[in-house]
Amino acid sequence: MVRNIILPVIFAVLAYGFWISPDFKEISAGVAIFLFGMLSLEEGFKAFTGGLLERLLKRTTDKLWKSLTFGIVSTTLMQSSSLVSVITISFLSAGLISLVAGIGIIFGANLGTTTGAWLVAGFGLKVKISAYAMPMIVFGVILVFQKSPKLKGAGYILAGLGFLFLGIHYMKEGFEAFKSSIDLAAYAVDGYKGVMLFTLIGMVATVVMQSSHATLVLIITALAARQVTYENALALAIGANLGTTITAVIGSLGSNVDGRRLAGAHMIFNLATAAVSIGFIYQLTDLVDQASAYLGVAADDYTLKLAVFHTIFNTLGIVLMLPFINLLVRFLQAVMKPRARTVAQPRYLNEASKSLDDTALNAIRKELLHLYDNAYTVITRGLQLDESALRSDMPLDDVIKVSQSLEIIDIDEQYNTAIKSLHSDIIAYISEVRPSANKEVTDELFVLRNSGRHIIEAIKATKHLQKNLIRYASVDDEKVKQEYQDLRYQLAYTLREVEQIRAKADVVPVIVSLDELKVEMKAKDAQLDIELEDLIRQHKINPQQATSLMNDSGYACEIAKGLVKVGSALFLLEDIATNAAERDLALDDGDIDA
Amino acid sequence: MGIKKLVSKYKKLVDSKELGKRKKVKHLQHVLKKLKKYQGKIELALETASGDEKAKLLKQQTIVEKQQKKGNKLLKSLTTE
Repeated sequence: MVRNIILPVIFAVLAYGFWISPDFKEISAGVAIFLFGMLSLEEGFKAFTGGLLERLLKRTTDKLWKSLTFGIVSTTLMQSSSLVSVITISFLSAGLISLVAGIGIIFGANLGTTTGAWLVAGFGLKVKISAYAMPMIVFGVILVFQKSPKLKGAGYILAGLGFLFLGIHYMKEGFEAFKSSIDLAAYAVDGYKGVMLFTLIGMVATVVMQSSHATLVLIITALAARQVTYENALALAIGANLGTTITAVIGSLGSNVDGRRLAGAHMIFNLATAAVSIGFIYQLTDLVDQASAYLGVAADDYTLKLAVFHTIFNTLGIVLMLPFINLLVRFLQAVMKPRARTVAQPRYLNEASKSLDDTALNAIRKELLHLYDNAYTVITRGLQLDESALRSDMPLDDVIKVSQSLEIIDIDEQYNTAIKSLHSDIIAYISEVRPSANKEVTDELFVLRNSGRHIIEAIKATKHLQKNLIRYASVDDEKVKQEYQDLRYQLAYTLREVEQIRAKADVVPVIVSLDELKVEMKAKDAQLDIELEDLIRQHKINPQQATSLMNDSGYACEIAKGLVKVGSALFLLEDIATNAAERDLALDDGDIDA
Repeated sequence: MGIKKLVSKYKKLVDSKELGKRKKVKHLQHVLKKLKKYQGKIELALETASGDEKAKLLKQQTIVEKQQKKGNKLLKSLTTE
């Protein structure tokens, strides 16, 4: 209800403002162009996230100071803490970084945003940046129309920066012109009442604009035009930080538990910092004066002093919260518990990763491994094998023996419980990964999608094989019984080998181990053919039994080959391009015979 | 260098197919390097291995050699095209 009313109210207020004041129109247009520039900048940086940014992020998980530095540097370079937050949430959800590392990055990102204030106050207001904006927009838009994703990304970044500059220019011009008609500074409120009121205004402005960066630029341009007092501007900056928290909390409502925990940490950080800053606002102002004098900032250069305040304010937050980070993590983990999940519910797929190529691929790969684990259980139980014994180092003959007493499962039922919906979710997610994905990503998505298909086919082959395994296990004909036992033993061996290949992926190159298994499988298949032919020739089995055995050895072969294909798609540990090159070197039947 | 040559070099440099090929060559070389490193490990292990372990290592050695042969052939076709 409230949500439905907000938009028309904002439109009405803005329309009324445009009608009564052309200067207000100019300021609002400046804000709108600035926000558009930020969107363009984010779009541009996303083109470069498929690699470098993610690789860097992976390396910032071991030490807290590294996470913090990553947050500061990436936000400074991209001037967008929201993009850094999105990447952090998606990495956290995909299980690639810890919550402590994620919180470190978010704290760093908070400090990184303060560089925006420095840039605008120190450069944006002192140089005629609109002169740079126009060529940047022109060049940027030309690049946006290029085919290459990297050039397109560079275009969005260039155009985005151009729009940011243009937005700042319009805001500055608007406030300058506004000064001649209305003096907003006359509405300044002194004392703690003013601090509270302007903190609230800053907060509301940020919630409406969905960007603390835009609010801060608006505050700085207004301050430069003396439309707000310095004291009130400080309170507005505190409000902007609080406002961004509300935006993050709203954004995290639809995400998983990790996203909510991260938003919780962000909220606690900003609330604690704001509370301390408001409580000690006058002491902080003195500190800003001293720091400004030390840095050579003129006493009346309030815009730069605001940047100093913003930096001190966020640094204070980090200094305050950093010693309690582990406590904070424990608190968040205790308060926000993950919802109970069934075995078929996705664990790694999340909305935030969809727009980031590498992260999306990682999430899909992990989810497919989850599907593979579920399928492994269905296949082993379908073949009446004890999974825990199979995963141990117990000799295979003993595994078969201890498995005799196991109950025979209904594969269809297991498929519906543990496989079907998970596979559907993965397929749906793959189809939703952004269509602009480059060829490398598209090829990898194809490989991943196919590995899901191989998993399903292996289960279906197990279902077909299961019928005769049960049937011939109880017959008196020892020869046939033995052949089926051999088939089962062979599959147990393959299942164990595949798991060992996965476990040793960082020791033995996966393609070497998988090809080794392929060679063994081929040799055993040929041996089985010879044995079968002998049995038929010597009339030890009848033609009907022979046909069943031939069909079932085909199913066994299908299961084993499917598992090998799944391994070559999911067990490789390097980046997409190296994994693809590794798969190119895998031996096919012709190479093995050569 | 003439202008024509310079232009053709530039075209080759920015051509997406060429870029893709160069990238593929780089990654293929990386995988071959990895295989060579593993081959070295096999050779070292063979010095002390015996019985089943030795047979397994010899099998792996044959596979690695075949993969290297396949990789070199692929590399050659990519660089001479």
